Amino acid sequence: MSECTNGELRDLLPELVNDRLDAESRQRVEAHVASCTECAEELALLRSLRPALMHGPAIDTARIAAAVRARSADIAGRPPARSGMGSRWHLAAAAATVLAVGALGYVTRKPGIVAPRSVPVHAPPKQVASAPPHVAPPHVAAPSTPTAVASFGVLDNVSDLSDDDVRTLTASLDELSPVPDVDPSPGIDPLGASLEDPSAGGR
Amino acid sequence: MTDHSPSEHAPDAALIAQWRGGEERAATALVERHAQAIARFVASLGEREEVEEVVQDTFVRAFGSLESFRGESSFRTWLLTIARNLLRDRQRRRTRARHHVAIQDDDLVSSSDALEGAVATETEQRLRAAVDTLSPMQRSIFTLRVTEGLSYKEIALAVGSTEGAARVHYHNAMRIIREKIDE
Repeated sequence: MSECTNGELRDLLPELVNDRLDAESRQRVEAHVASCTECAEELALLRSLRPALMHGPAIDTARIAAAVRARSADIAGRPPARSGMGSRWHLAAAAATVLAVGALGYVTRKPGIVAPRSVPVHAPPKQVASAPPHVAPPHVAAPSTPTAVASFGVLDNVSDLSDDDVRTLTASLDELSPVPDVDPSPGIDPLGASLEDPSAGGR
Repeated sequence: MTDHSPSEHAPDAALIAQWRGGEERAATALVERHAQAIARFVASLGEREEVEEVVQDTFVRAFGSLESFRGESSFRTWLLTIARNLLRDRQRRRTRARHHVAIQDDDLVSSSDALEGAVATETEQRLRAAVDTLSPMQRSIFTLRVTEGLSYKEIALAVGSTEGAARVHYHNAMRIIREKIDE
């Protein structure tokens, strides 16, 4: 078998197989392959390998897409949720809940009734924030205050909140997100090079 | 009747813009377009049992961080990078848990093990067997090059390596496969 003397064109064989060459480059590569036995054989091998390697694991793309939509609906940073009706609804719901809780607290504060103060006012946000980072239906991760409502102590505390505190609380509810902090960026390898193959020697 | 759904033939950038504008079906289109390639990549790195979970995590993470995607690489390359980082995290957790399913050179896990349900001809099985003799790094780079036609630069971004190393891996992989087939 004759040795290929044009490494540059030989290196473009995968692009040729995947139809990623412009017309001029494609013509050059094909002309080279026509006169190079080694590249002709390699091209034939690549064309055999590609369909064999294209068989991937069976995955349910519909389920994945549904999970993405469900999860993204809970992510505060997503533009549609931040600027659209969903965000405003969340804010309104949180504010309404806080106001309702406050009103109940006011009603229940009658002479002779001592409200316990065992539950801190910020308990609900903590519970939401500590939820596991797995995909969950939107209603699971959505900010809510049912646990807090169950306690007179919370009612009492919430009713004592100032307007600024209420705004801070509602803002924190709206900002809660299960999105991980780490955002992998191309070209940045924050976790080291454990995948690197030391045998390559190409660095 | 013409279907004006956002999917089909729109470029990635257009679908991402639609998603940012609140069009949820754009996410479906992007998932359908890239999920299988991400799954192949994940399997090529030796992940066997949780390929779909890793792919799902990749997309969830990507869409959750889409604001930080500036298009400096292709969307697929970005997804591959995220998938690789997720796999590395899993590898670390498994290592800590002493259930060692490592992504290392001496790990001869067969990517074919993950190809449940795939019907392969005898020729395809022989070719795949040859590919399975590669190290995970060689296998992933070779797979990205052959099935996606990614450039060495794109591959380097995806696997956290360099263009030069990716080129060396690819040519070493090609040499090994040719030797195996000629045996």
